[in-house]
Amino acid sequence: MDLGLSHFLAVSAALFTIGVVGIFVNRKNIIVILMAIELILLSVNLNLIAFAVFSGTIAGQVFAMLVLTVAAAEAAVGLAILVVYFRNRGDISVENVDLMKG
Amino acid sequence: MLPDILILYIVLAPGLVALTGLVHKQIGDKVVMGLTTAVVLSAGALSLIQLFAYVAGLGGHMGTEEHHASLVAATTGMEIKQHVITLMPWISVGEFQANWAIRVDTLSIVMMAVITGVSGLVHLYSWGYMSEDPHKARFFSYLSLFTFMMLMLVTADNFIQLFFGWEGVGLASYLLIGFWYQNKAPNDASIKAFVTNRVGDFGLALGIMAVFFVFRSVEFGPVLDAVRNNAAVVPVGFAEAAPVRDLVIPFLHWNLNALEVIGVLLFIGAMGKSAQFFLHVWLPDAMEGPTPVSALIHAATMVTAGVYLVCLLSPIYEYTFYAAGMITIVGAVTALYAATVGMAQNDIKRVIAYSTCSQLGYMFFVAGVGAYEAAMFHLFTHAFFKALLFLGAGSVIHGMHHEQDMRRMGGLAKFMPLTYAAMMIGTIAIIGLGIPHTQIGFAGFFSKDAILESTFAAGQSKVMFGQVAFWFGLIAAFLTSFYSWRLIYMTFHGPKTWEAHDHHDDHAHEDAHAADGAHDHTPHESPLVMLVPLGLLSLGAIFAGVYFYDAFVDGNNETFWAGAIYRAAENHVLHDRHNVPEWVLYAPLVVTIAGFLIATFTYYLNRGVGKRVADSGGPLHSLFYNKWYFDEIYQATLIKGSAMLGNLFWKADKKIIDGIGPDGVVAVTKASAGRLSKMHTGYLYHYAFVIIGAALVFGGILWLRAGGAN
Amino acid sequence: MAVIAFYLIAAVVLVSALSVIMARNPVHSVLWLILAFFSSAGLLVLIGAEFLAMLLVVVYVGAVAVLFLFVVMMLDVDFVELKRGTLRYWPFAVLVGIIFAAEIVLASVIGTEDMETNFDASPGAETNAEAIGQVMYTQYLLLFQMAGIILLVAMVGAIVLTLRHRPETKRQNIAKQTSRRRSDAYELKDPTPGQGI
Repeated sequence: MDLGLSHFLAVSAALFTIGVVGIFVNRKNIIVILMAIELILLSVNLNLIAFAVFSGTIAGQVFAMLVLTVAAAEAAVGLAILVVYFRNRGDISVENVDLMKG
Repeated sequence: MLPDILILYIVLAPGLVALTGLVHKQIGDKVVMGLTTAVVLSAGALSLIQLFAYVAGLGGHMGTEEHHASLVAATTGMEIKQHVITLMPWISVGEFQANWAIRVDTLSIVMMAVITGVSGLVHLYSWGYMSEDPHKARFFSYLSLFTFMMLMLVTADNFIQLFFGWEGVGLASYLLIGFWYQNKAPNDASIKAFVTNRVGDFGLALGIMAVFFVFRSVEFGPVLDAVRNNAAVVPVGFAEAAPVRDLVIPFLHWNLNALEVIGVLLFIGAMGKSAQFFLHVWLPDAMEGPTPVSALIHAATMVTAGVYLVCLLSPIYEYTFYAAGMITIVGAVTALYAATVGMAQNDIKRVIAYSTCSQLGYMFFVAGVGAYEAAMFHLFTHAFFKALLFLGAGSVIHGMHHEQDMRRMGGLAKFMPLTYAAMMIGTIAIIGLGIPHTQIGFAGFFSKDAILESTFAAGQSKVMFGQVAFWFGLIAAFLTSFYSWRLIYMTFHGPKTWEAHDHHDDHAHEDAHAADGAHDHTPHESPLVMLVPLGLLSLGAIFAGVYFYDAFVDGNNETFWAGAIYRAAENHVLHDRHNVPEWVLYAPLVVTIAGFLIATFTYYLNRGVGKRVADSGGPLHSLFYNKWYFDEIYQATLIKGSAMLGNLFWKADKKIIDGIGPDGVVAVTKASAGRLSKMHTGYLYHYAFVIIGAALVFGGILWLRAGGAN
Repeated sequence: MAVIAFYLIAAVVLVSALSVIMARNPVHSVLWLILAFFSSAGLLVLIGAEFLAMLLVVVYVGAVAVLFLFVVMMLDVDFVELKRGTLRYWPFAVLVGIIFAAEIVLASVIGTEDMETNFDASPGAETNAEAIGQVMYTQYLLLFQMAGIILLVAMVGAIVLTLRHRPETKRQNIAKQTSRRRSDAYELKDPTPGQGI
């Protein structure tokens, strides 16, 4: 069959699911959680660009660029937080952090 | 008839001057006292002139006062024109009109004279009686306030102003009984007076509402005219008109004659205000107030408001059968009951208080049988001699340094001769000493005999309870004589029991002298300012009956009343009393003398007999002494009952209504908030999980709303 | 032809994504992430969005993944400790994953069966870059500037979070140095002999 939109959507869906599962599973390693978030963002990007290309509009691609920007910014800040967290805690497991309890 | 401006002065000036009491700190006590006394005395003088002139203008009069009457007639020559001075509109809602107005007719002129006259004398008397009290200004302004309110009551043109005055005198009574509010007893007494009055006022208010319901108006003019002419009225909510005397209205779940219902309800209000049987319990306790208060309010004026009401509404009562009968029997029972209790009391003021209660009973039962003129006449004369008795008793109390127990008095005749003379005059007036078939007699003779004769005549004509009322009245006359002489003997004659008690200072009743240190306890005559009122009232007690007999109840009474009191065509009671058998005319005299003899025997000749009877504590004495246990019965039933009911509602309100309402909502909110806050575990992955779960749910909802799987 | 390429590259993407989350060593995770990025760039090239594909490589791989690598290597993490106890979350996670996937599939695939297979990644221009350039600085100028501001904020945020002044290190303050005056530098004192300062 020809390459169609549904192919890309399927890939995108799978990537998204993998990202979500990755968030759930990794309690002990916050870096992997961040990476899973990057995967989610990647899947969203693919989705956007696929729709844009197959409908012939350019807006989706521009949007994808902006999502890229935000993903980069968020990764930077997230890692900065991680660094500070590690400085204070000594490890990167978030299992026992419950200071915001109640 | 005085010019309108003077009538306005009589009615309104006491109210205005009462307000000066508010600034007594700035203007000084004496100024307040002086102003109030001057205003009320001048108002009293004016209204008395008005009354005298009116009577004199009628032509015929009795007695030895011809020169006085002709003098007045020559100078004034007034005649009554019944009219209404409208001051201001007050309530005007659809058919309900009530204006501030002053109704001038015979009834209100008589009452004005009584009120302002006695009030002026009481103001003057209080200069001496309250001379050591630190709150004089407040006292005088309350007295003036009371005078104003009572005047508003008697000059009212409509039921609402009447009610205003009614409540106003209740308020003034509360303030004055509880004048020494720092102590418990006056506080309790004033509350008791007010609450008991309130029970009566409930009936009065319902009566006023019934009047509006039936007549669609609360003004006396339209209402009484409608009853006089048997007009056809359309009560509220009725479809067609009916003659008012035969009208039947629904009340609770019965259908009753409209006038009967109105009459009974309004009389309940009168029962409360005039301390009739069942609602009398506040009057003896009201003696906690200063004696001038007792003289003014609980003798001459406020308690007579009920009698005034009944006489004012004579058109209505003439056409009722059961309501009038109720008035008769209640009055008769009160007359007898109060006399029995008054016999056994030891506090001088309480004896006189029960005497008032009893005399009010007389006024009511004679009004009930149809002789309203006689009731007003007795009201008029009673004001004089009862005020005289109270002020005299006050003089005794003042002279005895606030001792009120008669058992601790005795032999005061030598020390207070003028007071003794005044009390004697008052006593002879109240027992009604006089010679039948002549015009010789003290004031009480004329009025009381008029009452008894009319009642007997009514009994002959088969008026409801007429015979009962006559016999009760006769027995009460016997008892009246007995206890009045008992009072005189115990107070003014006999051994000086107070000498042995020279040292003790527990005067439980009035403690205006509490600050006094050592003062000698020999009784002294009162100052002039207290004796002058006594003297003036004595004149009234002696001559008022003779002078006004013709005008009030005899030949000229129809001209005098000029329609202010209404008599139905079938009501001949006042006229028939001239046709009663001879023994009826002499019976009061006989019982009076009998009472005098027994009292003399018990308290003068054999001094200790009375004390021994009292101490023996027989059942009859206990019954009388304890007021037939009325207070105890009320306490056990009504008061405890209301307290229990109140408690029940309070607890139910707290537990059930509050529990379901505010408190319950609060508790549920707190509990659920507590449980919800446990969702914040603080763990990042829990939060992440929640975020993803929410995203799932929202996505699903959005997808479903967008059309789902179609 | 394109389809076969697509399947291949898509397989690589999915496998590397799975490995990102399942790898034991975080450094390995990062490397797998880089592979995932590269492969998705390849996917984009397939449909003609080559500008975006290169952008993906430069930004994601060149910046974000390198950043991840820096941080992973900087933190001293105990690898063994990391993986203990994750097993019990897998069933639940898989369940959630299935639900998610089902939702997405239902939402996106079912409405789009008749969608075209014609694709045009450069509408209104010849190359993808040109097409984007035509709108980026005209129609979407504001968004573009705001994206820049977001990046600025992120940069400032990252610095603010992680900057700490060690008390012992000496630093130069150039401005202070160049604004030094003669009066700050020295002062003349005239001690009497034998006394000292």
